[in-house]
Amino acid sequence: MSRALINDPKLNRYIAANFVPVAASIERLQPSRYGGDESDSSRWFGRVAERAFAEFAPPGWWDTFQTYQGFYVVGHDGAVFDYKVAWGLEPDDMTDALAEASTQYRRHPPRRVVISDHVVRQAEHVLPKSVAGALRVFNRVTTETRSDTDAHNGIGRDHAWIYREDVIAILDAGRQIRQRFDLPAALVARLVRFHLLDHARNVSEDFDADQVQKAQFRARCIAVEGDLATFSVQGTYRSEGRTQEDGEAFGVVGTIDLRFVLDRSTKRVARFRGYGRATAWGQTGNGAPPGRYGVEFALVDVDDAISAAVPPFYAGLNPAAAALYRTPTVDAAPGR
Amino acid sequence: MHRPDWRTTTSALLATALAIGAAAQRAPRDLEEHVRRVLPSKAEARWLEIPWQTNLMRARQLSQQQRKPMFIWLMDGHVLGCT
Repeated sequence: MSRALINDPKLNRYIAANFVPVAASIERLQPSRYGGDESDSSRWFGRVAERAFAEFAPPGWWDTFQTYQGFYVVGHDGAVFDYKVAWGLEPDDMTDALAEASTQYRRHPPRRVVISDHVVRQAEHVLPKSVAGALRVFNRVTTETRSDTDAHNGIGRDHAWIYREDVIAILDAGRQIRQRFDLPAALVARLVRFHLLDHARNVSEDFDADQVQKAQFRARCIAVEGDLATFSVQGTYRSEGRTQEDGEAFGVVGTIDLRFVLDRSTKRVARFRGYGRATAWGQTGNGAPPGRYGVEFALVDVDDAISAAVPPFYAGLNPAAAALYRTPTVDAAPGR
Repeated sequence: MHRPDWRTTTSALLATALAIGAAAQRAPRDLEEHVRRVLPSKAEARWLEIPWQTNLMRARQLSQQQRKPMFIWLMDGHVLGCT
């Protein structure tokens, strides 16, 4: 919903021209919510949020939801000029609110503060050295099962990481051209538990190891040119669980084709394309279509500032989740 | 023991490498087309044209230097990643 709002061209231009725009996550700025570690940024923002909720939040908002999410207009010293809950806003209303907040900012300019380069460097997020390739994962509900509801016409997004040990294992197993082998178990588990999920409306629940009934991803090296080795993968999977919120059964069963190029000298992903089709069900509390519906997935390699700064959702929750994200397992045996 | 002529061998290897290389560069056309269909359209990605800062402390520095307030968009799941 918020993305549809920010996609409005007029509001989009207004924000770019009149503000320093900041995109962030609860995981980083309210880490207590998911058991993450505090940082200079989260401690500073916690004080901002307290002021914002005291002055601008709807009555009862904090007591009900206990989340910092929303839109803020803030001075560099932490003074708050507006806060809006992210839901149900129209572009014109948002533009008017931002204009009023800008006026207040000019009337009450923030005091000068020292923000050292050291503090800035400490707050920088970079791609971990263990990551050999970042992917952007998208999903949509297929047109055949999409309804008129806007929620079904959205696009799910996340980043995915392929680690150096995944690349080394693939290169080792795929030394013989056209010889089939199983994709490394941790990479398969990472894909089926955390990425082949329908995020089109909101963050979907992921699957536990014992909720994956099938995860068979067969790979082969199909070409080598110099240091570049091209691999083709066909995967089939089936997962089913129950939502934490209301115990509703949800699941996904599908197939996926991957084609990627690995650099044998750098042990990095040079190129990655993936496309999958699946049937999903459940999570109607999250606005999913009723019954069984079609989902499409696309995975592409990415190497930009955003992918370097923003981790996959699950990996960004807290240190324990990040460790599990790197070496997940599934109970389903290979080949099942 | 017969030893192949190195020039013949090198030419053959080069030709093979070029052919394999050409194949390696292309994903099957239908895979590329399927992927393209799922990717966001320009209209769906307009919000990414905004020069978002991901480092809150750098944003504070910029805010002070440029004398502009920060517009902070905060969601469960990173706004530029998964929400």
